[in-house]
Amino acid sequence: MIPTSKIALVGNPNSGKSTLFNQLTGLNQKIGNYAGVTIDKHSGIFKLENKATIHIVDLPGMYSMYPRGNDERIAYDTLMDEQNEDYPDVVVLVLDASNIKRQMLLCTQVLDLKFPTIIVLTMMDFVKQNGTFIDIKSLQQSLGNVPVLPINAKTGEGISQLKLWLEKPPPVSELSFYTNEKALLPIQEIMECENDFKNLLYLSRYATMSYIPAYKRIKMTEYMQHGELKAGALQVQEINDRYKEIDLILEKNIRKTKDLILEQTKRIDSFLLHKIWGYVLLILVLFLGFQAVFSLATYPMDAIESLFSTISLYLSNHLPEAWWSDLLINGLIAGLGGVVVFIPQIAILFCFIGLLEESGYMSRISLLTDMLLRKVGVSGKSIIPIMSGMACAVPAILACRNIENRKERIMTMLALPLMSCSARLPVYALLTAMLVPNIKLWGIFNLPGLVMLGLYLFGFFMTLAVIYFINIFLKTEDKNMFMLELPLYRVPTWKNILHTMYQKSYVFVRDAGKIIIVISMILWALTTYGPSESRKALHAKYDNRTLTEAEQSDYNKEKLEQSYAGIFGKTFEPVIKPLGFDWKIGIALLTSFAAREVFVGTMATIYKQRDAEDTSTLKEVMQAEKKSDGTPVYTKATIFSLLMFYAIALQCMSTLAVTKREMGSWKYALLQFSMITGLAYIISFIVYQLFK
Amino acid sequence: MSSNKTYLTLDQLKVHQRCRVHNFLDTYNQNKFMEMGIVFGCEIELLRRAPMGDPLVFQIDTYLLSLRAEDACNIVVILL
Repeated sequence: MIPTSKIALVGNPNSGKSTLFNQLTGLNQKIGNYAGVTIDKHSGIFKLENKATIHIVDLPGMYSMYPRGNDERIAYDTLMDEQNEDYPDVVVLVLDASNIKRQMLLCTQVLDLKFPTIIVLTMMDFVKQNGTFIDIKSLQQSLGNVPVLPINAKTGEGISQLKLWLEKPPPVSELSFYTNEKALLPIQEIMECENDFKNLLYLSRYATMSYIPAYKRIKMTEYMQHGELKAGALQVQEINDRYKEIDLILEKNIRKTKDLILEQTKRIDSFLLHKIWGYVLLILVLFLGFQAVFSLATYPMDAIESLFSTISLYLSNHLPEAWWSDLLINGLIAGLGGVVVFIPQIAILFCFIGLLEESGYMSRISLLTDMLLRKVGVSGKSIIPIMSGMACAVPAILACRNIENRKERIMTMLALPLMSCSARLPVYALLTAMLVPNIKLWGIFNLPGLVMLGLYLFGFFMTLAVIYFINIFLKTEDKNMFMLELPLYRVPTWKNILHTMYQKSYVFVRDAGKIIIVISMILWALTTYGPSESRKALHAKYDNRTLTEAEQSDYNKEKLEQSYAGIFGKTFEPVIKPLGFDWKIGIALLTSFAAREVFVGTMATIYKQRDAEDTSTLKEVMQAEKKSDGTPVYTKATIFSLLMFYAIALQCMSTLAVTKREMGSWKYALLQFSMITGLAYIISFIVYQLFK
Repeated sequence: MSSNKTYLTLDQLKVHQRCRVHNFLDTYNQNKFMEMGIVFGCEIELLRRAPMGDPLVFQIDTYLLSLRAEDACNIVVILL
């Protein structure tokens, strides 16, 4: 084989393609992007025994050569465009043997494209447990003598055999599963192509295949204007003919006694989809699952935070005091910490999602919740991203990939930052404590706790309401329907889950990390620098004396108030005044953009609290704060308004960075920001004006 | 149309009733149905309805597929 052979992995979604890809490449893979679309491209390299290097691309899963949606379209174009950089020398077709009939449609279609092909059968353990026998040799003959290889992607059984077979070019199928020369003769002449199936594909899609030479496309258009060929009818006939052929092939080569695994799955379903137990279990799984994500993630997150503060402390003790050391410590390292701190949440959430998906329970969750979510215009597939938003919007937005329908994906992604994430918790805690007394209702419910619960429910209903609202305005021609495969229950593969955890974290750090670091450095600059005159005065006042603790607090407060962030707060005071906020709150609104919980820290600086952890004294100081006319700043109306603002507003640069990454442009991130923050402004305005 | 055949749309099946696919009313999604194994003449059984009544869970050949009633009503079937 020539040293730079290109292989494409082709198969149905969930056929075990990615598991095989991971087995072959290990960590020798990279995640890029297909040009123009936001679909991850998984490619990698591996070596054969004879030292030849193989480039492999894991093409997006497809059900047939009639693509719907961008991801199937990419797989289609890669196989049809000879100039495509990934146009394969060899196709490895991956078939889930436990569900072979449906997989055979794509299989015979791809064989008809006449690539050198190897067919790989996965999930053979199921087939055996099921009491099914597949005659591999005879199947090979029925498919035109292309090699058929059963593998176990979990244990790696069969992988070395596959590599051995790749050392020389595999054969092209000797059979054609579709012929219709009579009908397709005109296309054959125009396209100068003898392959009937390719001609059928040209007939159906030539207009969108820009890689077909222009003169051929023009001839096709001319032909179609008076032609009598109907692509749609030919396609239906083609698929139907193929299934007839497939039935014959399977009848010949597969002997089935009983469907043990299927029966077992049906039995489990009668419990898991039960109208009472099904929901009890669903709520339990979601509650425990997200509780685990929530609480497990705090340990590594705390560790990361203390690691970064140790580094900062060490550097500030050992570096000279200068603008660049400040930039390094409070700008760059703080920004880096702000990126790394997301990794535990991303990894743990995708571990949870991976378990649900690999076990087969994920589809059942979508099924159970579809009725509820359909009412607002999405499907049950949106439930996991929405619920994930309770931990953190960043991994939740990454989890939206699983929603195949583009419109539903966009709506879910745009609205889910309204779910109350864990970063809002410290803000809620501080403001709720100021708003309501810590008493028990009816002896059991603690009042601040109830208010918090209310805020979480409020977030959930706002999310649904906003999805409903976007659905009215976002018009697309996307007429996708809801089709959900309920896979057989199986034991999850840890290797796959670990791989996803790693990939999601890595891609986040690589793509969203840069944006987060840049924004956090801008925020640092805004809070550190101010107009030079006021800065000179400040330095003159505190000179280079060793400051007492009280003086240090004064210095910090004045430094922040006279910085550009302070000027921002003062400039925008008229804008936020109708919400009941003063310019000091304005500063906190700006700094919260780094992460919402920074609100508490900023308040502590402004109100000269040395210990930002000690919120009870901070609360008292804030409550004692008076306006110039002697009335308190933090009236009930202001606190309630502020609470609503924090419950709704999108003050999170990381969310915007990850939306930009997932949607491929700033357009959606800005839409998301202005829509949600605008909503926050309106609701806070109403609340303040009603209660003041 | 012979008198002993009952024509229904797929969403009208009762749980555990079996049927054979006769035709499609929605040509736009016909390919999609066929890709998923719902082809002329294939046998389908309604296994259950989701607890809230919809979507429906079907067994097609040896695998389980869930469709909403609003999509399933585009498939004309003959009761077995």
